[in-house]
Amino acid sequence: MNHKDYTIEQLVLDSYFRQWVYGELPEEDVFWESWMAENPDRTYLVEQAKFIVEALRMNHAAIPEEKVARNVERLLETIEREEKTRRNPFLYYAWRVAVMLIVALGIYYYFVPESRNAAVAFENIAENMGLETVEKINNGAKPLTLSLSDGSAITLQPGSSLSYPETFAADKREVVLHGEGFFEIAPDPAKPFVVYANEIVTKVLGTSFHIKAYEDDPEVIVKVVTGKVSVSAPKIQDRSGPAEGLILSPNQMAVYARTPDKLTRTLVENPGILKNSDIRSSDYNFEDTPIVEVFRTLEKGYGVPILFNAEQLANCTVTAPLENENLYEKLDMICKVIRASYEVVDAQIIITSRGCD
Amino acid sequence: MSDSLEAVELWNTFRRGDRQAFGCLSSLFYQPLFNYGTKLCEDQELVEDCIQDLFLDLWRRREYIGHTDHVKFYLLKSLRRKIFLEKRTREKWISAQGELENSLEFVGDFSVEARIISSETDSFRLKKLQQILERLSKRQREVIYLKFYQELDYEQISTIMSITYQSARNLVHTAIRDLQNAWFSNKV
Repeated sequence: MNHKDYTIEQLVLDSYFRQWVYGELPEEDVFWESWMAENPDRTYLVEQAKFIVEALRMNHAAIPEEKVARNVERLLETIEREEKTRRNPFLYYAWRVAVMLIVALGIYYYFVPESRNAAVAFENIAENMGLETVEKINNGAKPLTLSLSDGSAITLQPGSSLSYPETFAADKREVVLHGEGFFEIAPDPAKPFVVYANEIVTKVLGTSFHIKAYEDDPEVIVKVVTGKVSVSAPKIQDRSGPAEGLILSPNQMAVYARTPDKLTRTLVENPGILKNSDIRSSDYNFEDTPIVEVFRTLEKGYGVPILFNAEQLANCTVTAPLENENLYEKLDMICKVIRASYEVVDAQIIITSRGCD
Repeated sequence: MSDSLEAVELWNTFRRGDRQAFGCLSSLFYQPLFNYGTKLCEDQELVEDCIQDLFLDLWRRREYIGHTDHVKFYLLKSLRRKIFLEKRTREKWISAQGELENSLEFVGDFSVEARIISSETDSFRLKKLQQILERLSKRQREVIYLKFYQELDYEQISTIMSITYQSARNLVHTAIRDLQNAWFSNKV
């Protein structure tokens, strides 16, 4: 590009020139100053072009970054809700969905005798709490966040309610949920946090989890976001004897079906990369990587166990840039390459393949 | 001008249903969209609503959207249309009159940095400059805005504004030429 022959108009239309005029170039960039020094006969042109560029300066309305972040979050929440509705026709008609217990918190597997009562006398719990209880109902159209006395925060979806004591008891923190909420519980190993929601009791020590419990839903679901949680369905326990709950890790989901009474574990719809994982996104760009390493990277990154026949796949390597794909897309690609298929069973990925020979 | 590799990548990934990519895409283009939107409509809330709507529609229709190397252009074009329709809808309720404004008017204006220019400009020239800026049509301002601040090419600008390629070029050319006259104006 020979700037020597530039006309005024061409200078004005050159974004690099405009950047210089507006002072947007870094200090070290003295291109235009040098150019002017080398071409004194062009200074005249530059002055005119500069004049015009400055005249055409415009002010711009900016929106604060936090607002952008919030708006984007709202978008994601909306599409999440729509996806759920689309997938399950029951969810569409029964706006009060079954309890989604998302338990995320320490490996505490704890079946408390009183939870038997919980399932049966759900409504009595609130009364039994004895302490001064508060019931907060979200009558609005947007999620509502509550702060509890221990520092925990619960975000209630529209139409949902939470009953809880103003001050928690000495040995435990109990609340009752109707509808749907996202829980961020302040850790307190001495005081387990217990959520009663329809037939499910969720016990956590301190974690973030999502619970969805609507009266008319045929299912209760618990989703673990961080940490581990134990989920128990007292009704099942009553029948089958000793307490057998499920321990969920991040990205796992427990589904309690009311008829028949069954508690199963699976993966959440879109497993995310674990927050505390030390796998970087660039680690998912595989180049001639042996399959064992590929699966190990995925396991560490997503916290999801992958089961495969190492012997059979010994000759398989993968070359593919997968840092932008979600877990299922990564698996699709990888399985294509190694001529395999996968299925999700009990929150684990099971690979079936003929090998790469 | 193509968009960055990142933008195109995000576009493809989001179309396959990746919500995270969708979130990133929305964050990436929010400011430029808000910027353009507020030049078309002073009601910032309306602009925000339109942007939210735009992205939601994008997500819902993701399976029917094709590949593109010009994501920003696509988004700006969609936003302009959305704002036009939304304004029209809202005005229908407010306006008692029958005839509605059929085109979208550019409301952006130039911020004459008197301080900067005046160091090399006397008041006469400055006055002349202001006169000329005021005489620039709304279409000229929009073309200049899209060219200078959104860095679109004439082809894209002509599509967004429903004018011909030649018109777009002429609008800019005339503006620059008129402003050159302001420069010469003190040379009597």
